[in-house]
Amino acid sequence: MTKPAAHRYLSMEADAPPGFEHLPEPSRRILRSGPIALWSRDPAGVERRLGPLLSKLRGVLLCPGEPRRKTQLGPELWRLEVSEASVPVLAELADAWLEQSAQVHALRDALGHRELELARERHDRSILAEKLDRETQSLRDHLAARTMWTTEAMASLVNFGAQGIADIDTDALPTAAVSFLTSKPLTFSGAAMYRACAEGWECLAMAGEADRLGPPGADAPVDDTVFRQNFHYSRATDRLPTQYAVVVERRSGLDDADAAFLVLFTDLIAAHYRARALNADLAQASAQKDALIAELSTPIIQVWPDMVCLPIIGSVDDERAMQITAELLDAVASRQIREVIIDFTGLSTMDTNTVHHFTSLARALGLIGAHCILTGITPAVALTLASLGVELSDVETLSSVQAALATRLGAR
Amino acid sequence: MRAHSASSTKLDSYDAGFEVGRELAELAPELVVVFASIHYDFVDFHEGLVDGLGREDVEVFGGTGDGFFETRAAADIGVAALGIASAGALGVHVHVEPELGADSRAVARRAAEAIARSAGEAPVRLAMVLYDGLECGDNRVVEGINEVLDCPVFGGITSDDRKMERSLVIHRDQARANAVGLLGLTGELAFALGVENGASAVGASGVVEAATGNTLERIEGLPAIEFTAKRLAKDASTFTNQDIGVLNFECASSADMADPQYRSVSNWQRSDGALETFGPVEVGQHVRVALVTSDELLAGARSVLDALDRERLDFEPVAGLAISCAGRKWFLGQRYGEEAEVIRDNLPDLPFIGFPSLGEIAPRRRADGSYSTNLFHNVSLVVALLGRPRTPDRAP
Repeated sequence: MTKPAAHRYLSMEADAPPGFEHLPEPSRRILRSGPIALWSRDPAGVERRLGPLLSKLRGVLLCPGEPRRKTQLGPELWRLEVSEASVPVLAELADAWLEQSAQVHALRDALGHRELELARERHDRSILAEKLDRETQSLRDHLAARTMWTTEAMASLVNFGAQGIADIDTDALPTAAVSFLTSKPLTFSGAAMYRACAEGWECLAMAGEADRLGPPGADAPVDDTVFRQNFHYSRATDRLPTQYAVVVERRSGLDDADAAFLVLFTDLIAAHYRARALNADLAQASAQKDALIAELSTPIIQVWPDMVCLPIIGSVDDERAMQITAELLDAVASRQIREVIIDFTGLSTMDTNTVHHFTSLARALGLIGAHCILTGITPAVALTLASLGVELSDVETLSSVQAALATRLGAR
Repeated sequence: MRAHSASSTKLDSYDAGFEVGRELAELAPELVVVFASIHYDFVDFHEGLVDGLGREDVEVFGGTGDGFFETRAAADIGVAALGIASAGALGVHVHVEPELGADSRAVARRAAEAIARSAGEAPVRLAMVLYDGLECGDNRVVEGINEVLDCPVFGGITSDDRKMERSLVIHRDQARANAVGLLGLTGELAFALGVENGASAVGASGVVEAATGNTLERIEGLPAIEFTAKRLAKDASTFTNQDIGVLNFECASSADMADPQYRSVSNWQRSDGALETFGPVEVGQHVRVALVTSDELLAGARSVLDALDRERLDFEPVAGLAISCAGRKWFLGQRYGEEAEVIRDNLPDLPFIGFPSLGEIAPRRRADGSYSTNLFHNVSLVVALLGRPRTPDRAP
C-alpha cells in the first residue's frame, strides 16, 4: 500500500484547535495535495467557498454539532460533527480519520488500477478469443477441405492405378504421371519426373509451373512447398537399379496429407515399373527355356567327320518330328555328312505317324547323298511296327549304335 | 539544457500529476512533455502537475498512448513526463489545432503556421507532432507540416488502451480529441533523430503502377498481392490478417531505396488482388517486401541507437524521446519491455520517455548528419535525442 502523503490540519478560523494551523485562505494546492482535516465553526460557509472543489478533496471537515454525525460531501470528503469537549483532542481524532482516509484512497487507487488492468486483459482476451475462433474455424474449414481433397485424390489415384496405368506404355508413363498430378482434383501447381543417368538426372516429363521443379541435388530447394520422392527398380540383368524422382510443388504449401498421398503415388508408379520389369524378365526366361529345350530335343552328335548320330529320347509328336527333320537335314547339308545313325533306344512309344516321319526322313537324307541307319529298335517297338504293318525294307536297320558304327567303319 | 524524467502509475489524476510534478520540481522545467494512458482527467492531472512543480509558468505538451516507458519504468497504465530546463536558451512554442478530421492536411498546415508565427524570426530547429490517429491515420498531417516548416519533425499518432475509442493531444490542462498538436523548438538546441523498423527486405524492389490512398493496387505489372506472394514464394490465398505486422513494405522514391519509409499491411483479404496499408503508397514509388520477427524488431531498435551513438554525435544528449509503434508492442508481447531496455542499455542515465503510437513520424538521418524530408512510418521506432550544441570551449 502506498504511504500516505503528510496530513494537513487546517483551521480556516482564528480559534484553531490544538495541532491545527490557522490558514484563512488555503490554496487549492494545499487543499488538494494530500488528505486534510479542516476545522470550521461555519461548515456551510466553508462548503460554499470550496464549491466544486469539495468533490476533489480528501479528508474531513470538522465542525461543532451533534457528536459523530457525519455527512459525505464528496467521494472522499466527509463532514464530521464533534462535541465542544472533544475540540482539544481534535488532532488525534482527525489523525485517525485521515489515516483511514489515506488507506481507503490507496485501496481505491489500487482497485481502480486493477479494474483497468482487468478491463485491458478482458479486451485482450476478447480479441484473442475472436482470433482463436477465427483460427479454429479456419482449421475446421481446412480439415473439411483436406478431407474432401483426400477422398477425391484417393479415388482418383485408385482409378489411375487400376484402370489408366495398365494401358499406358512405360515410355509414356512419366507424361501421364505429371499430367495426373497437376490435374483436378490434385491440382499441384507443378510436377516433374526425373531418371538418373550418367550425366546426373534427365527430365522425363514436366507439367505446370516449373520454377522450382529441378532435379534432386544440392541446389534443390528445401521448404514446405516442394516435395520430392525417389524410387527405383531393377531388371534381372541390371547391375544397378534405375533411379527415378518425382518432384511436385504446391505454392500454398504442402502438408502431411499431400506428402502421404505422394508417397502412395510414387509407390504405385514404382510398382508399375517393377511389374513391367518382372514381366519382361519372365518373357525372356521363357524364351531361353524354349530354346534350350529345342536344342536338347535334337542332339546331333558328330561321331566321325562325315558321320552323325541322333539319339531319340522320349516321345516324338508331329511338331518334334518336323523339328528333327529340319535340323538333321540342315546339319547333313552344312557339314557334308554321308552317314546318319538314328537311334531309337530311348524312344518310349512309336506310332504310325512317327514311323512315317522317320522313313520319310531316311529317304530325304538319301536324296541329299547321305545313308541312314536306324538302330535300337526295341522288341516292343518292333512288335508295334509289325502290328501296324509298317514295312522298313528300304531302310537299313541295326540292333545298336555300336553295331552301326562297327558295320559302317568296318566297311571302310 | 538540463532534463529529468519521471513517471507515475497512480490512478488518481491529480495524484499522478502531483507525483511527477514533485519529481521534476527541482529541475524547474520550462517544458514538460507527457505521455499518459487515456483514463486520466487531464484538468486534474495538470492541476496536480503544477502543484507538484510548484509553478504554473510551464509549457505542457503530450498525448495519450497504450502505456508509457521511461528511464526507470514501463507500464500499461500511468504517465511519463520529461522536464526540460534551459534557462531561456530554448524557445518553446506549442499549438494545438482542432477539427483534424475535417481536412487533416490543411489543419496540420494551420498548426505549423501557428508555430512559425510564434517563433517569429527565430528558426524552428526541431518540431514534435502528436495527433489523433482515430481522425487521421496517415501522412496527410506530415504533408501539411512539410508545406510550412522546413525543419526535421518527429512524433507519433496518439492512441488509447487498444480499444481504438479515444485519443487525445494534451496541451496544459486541455486534452483534445480530433486535434493535431505541434511543439516547435527554437534557440540553442542540438538534436539527432533515428527511425528504424527492423524488417528484412525480401527480393528485388518493384515500381508501384497503381495505388489509391492506402490501397496498393499494382506493382511491377502484377496485382499487389501477387507481387508480394511471388517475392515470398507463397500462394497469395494463404495470406491472412495474422500476417499484419509481419509483412511490411519499404517504400522509396528511387530504385536505390534511399531514405525509405515503412508501410505495414492492414488488409490482405481483397478479391481484386489489391492490398491495404497503414498509410498511402504513391504511384512511381519503389517498394520492397520486408518481413519482420520479434528479434528483428529489437535489432531494429538497437540499430536506431547504434546510429545515434553518443560517441558519434557532435553534441552531448541531455534528453531522449521515443515513439514506438503500438504494433511493435502487440507483436513483441511479453518481450515489449526489451525495447525500453535496449534504449536504457544504449543511453544509460539519459532521461527519456516514450509511448506506443499508432504511426510514427521522422525523417531519415543520413550518414552526413543531414535529414530527408519528414516521413510517415508504420511499425517503427523513432528516437529523438536532444541536447545543447557544443561551444568551442566546451568541445572535447
